[in-house]
Amino acid sequence: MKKIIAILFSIFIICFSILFIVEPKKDFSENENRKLASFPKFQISSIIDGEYMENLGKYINDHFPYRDLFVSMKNKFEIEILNKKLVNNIFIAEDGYLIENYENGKNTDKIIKNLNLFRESVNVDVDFMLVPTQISIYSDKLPKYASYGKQVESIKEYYSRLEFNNIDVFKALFENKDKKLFFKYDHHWTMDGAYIAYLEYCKDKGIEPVDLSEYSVEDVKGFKGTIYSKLNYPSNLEGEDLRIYKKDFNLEIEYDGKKSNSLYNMDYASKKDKYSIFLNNINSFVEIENKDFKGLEELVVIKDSYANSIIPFLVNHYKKIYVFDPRSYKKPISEFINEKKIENVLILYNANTIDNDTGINAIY
Amino acid sequence: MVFSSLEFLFFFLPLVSILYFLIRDLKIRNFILIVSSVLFYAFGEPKAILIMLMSIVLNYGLALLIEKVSKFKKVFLFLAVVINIGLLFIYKYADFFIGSVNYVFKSNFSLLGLPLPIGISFFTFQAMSYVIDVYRKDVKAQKKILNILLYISFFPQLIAGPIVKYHDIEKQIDNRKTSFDGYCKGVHRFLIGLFKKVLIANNVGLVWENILNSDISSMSLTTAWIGAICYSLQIYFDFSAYSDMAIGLGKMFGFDFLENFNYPYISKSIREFWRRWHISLSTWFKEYLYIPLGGNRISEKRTYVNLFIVFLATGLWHGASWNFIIWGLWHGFFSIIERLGLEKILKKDKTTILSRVYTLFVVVVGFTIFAITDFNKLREYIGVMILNKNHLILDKEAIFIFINNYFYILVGIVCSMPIYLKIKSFNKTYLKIIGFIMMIVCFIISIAYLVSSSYNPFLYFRF
Repeated sequence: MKKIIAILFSIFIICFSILFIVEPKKDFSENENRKLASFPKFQISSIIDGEYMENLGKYINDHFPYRDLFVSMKNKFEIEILNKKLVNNIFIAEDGYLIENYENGKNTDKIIKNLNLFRESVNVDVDFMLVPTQISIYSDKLPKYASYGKQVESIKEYYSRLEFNNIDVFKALFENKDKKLFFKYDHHWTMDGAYIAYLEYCKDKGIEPVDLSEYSVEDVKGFKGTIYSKLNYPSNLEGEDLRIYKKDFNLEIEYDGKKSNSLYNMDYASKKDKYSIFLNNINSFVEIENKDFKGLEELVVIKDSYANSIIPFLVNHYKKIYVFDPRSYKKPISEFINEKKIENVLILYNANTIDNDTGINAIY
Repeated sequence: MVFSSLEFLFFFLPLVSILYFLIRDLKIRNFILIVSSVLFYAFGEPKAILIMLMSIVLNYGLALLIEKVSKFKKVFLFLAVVINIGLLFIYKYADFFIGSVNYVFKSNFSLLGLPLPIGISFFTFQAMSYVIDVYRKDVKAQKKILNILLYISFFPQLIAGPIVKYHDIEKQIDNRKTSFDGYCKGVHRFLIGLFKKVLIANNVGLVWENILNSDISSMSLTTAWIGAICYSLQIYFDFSAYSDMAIGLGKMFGFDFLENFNYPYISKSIREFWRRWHISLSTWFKEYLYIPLGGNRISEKRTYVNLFIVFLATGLWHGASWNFIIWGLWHGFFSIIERLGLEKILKKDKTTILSRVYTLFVVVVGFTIFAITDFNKLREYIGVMILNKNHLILDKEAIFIFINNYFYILVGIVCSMPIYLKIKSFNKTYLKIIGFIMMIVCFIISIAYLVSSSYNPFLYFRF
């Protein structure tokens, strides 16, 4: 028996090394949404400090034959055979939901300090919306005994320590949780979720909200989002619908200087990363002008990607919206607000990612 | 490079093996092993390779001098010990020493900040074993530097043991048989180690890491114990897996290394534990420290002093930090108490339950001390383990951690017992077939785990 095993082992190893060498290499992994490591350049200095070998290791890992298959096999083994309910920090929840775990924030004090400094550096009231994620709204779908970080308490802490006008959307989202407010396989909220938050925003600002019936509906099929990417399981998943609400506006938009007249980039509908339809994925600065709008009100939005799907509703109420992504926009946003004398500022984040946004440290 | 990596398994190992088996001449084979060992070390530590080579050359030279100029052999031995310990001290302990001095005397000496060369504790101990063996005339000084080079740098045991002693391996370097049968046995042993590392050690390790990084102030007693048990399983399976892989690789190339672990967790006393745990280290200390100090032959009092010294050295060998020293002395304390009479009392319990519970308790608490370098954290964690009023005994978190990871923990516990040997002794064909199928399944799953560990969806769009 030992001989057969040794022979099989040797054959397997040699086959895979040959396969690795002859197989064509990809530059980009759609599943992981990242560039794969390229073959390291031969340099004496990088060999001496060990960087070359490290990169070689990364290259071998990234281009290993049948990589995606092995990953889904491992997760399938853990979920189906070991019956694990938390895999790669994702809860395997009821109704097919994959819910990202929430870990208590580590940078809360620092972020609150910086946001308050930002508040001092501008002369206007700032609206602040910290959106809870699946784990708080759909906690009833989590596996039995699941223990996770205290997201709702963390949101409350932000609200109580910040000198902002807080717009708490937890209650509204929780009461409407029967509608599909979040994706099953992606960490974002759906446009329905964003609409509920929009209603709360309008209530707070004393604006008359636009009814959803004024929008037309378009469903993009087969959306397998970021959370699915982390597990690559189940491998035959068809994905879910990504619902887009559209309305005819007369818009003039600049995405980091690139002109457009749509809030949606439908090129992404055929790609894996479909949430990027909203507001053309990631841009450090987006300027949106609503030409039909009669008033002069302008709005600055400082945000993460959750805001991308609420902008199509906010557009109804402002002549101009300036959207900043502090992760890539490196100039102080407070200066922009003061120079342009903007009177409406909205900071919108989801509670899972605010802790990791180092860009917030430079917004004032 | 580590054995449980794709680059080792799919590139380094097949390349070295093919070259090795294509060539028949033992001298060239040894040369291939030396070159590949140097490359293996350089893959992770390109700069430290010079330190290792320097150490080898010095020890080689001093051993020759000890034999040739026997008048001054004590001087040369002294020099060799000073050089080896000195090297170890500068790279491993100097900063710890300076930090402790600064702390005690409120002084302000700056730290050296030297990076620790991988495996330095292992290769300096091997080098010392060689020089001392020559001094004791147990072996002849080796004139061929390549033999010493291979003895110390041979990649299977280079960075994490077992600590091979020169007198155990001397003859195999120049005279060994490499056979297909040995190759197969070696592969089998290597795979067992791979499974232990990838399927058990890494996974219980993750459980431990998550527990340690969670909030200790709200932790329940059960969670703390699950964590401590998982760490104890991790360190055993990680370390013994490495030895299994090393022994297996050695076999593939015709070497026979001594066993390094012998089911330590079934021990009935701490003294037995040390006969089963990291055997190559404890025998090293026995042969080259305990016995030269006089062992147990001088007086009873001296025996305890010697034991104290050996356990202090054992703790310190594991790392430059106070918690390793405390861990060593913790074991030393129980060893001495056992000699003083506890062992006799334990032996009265015919069921052996009491002695096993006692031993595992000392070992698991010991490894908790070993694992946590931060003193305040360690005090807090141990506090939770020994029932603190402010902590629950059992909570939701503990239940969830257990039901989510029971498989790894139970398999770990079962595999800590010599059940495999028992099954093997039945010698039944159907058991062999089941074993065969399990080997294949475990191999595929291990590769899946290895590939997955590098799979990190980069979620730049997650914000």
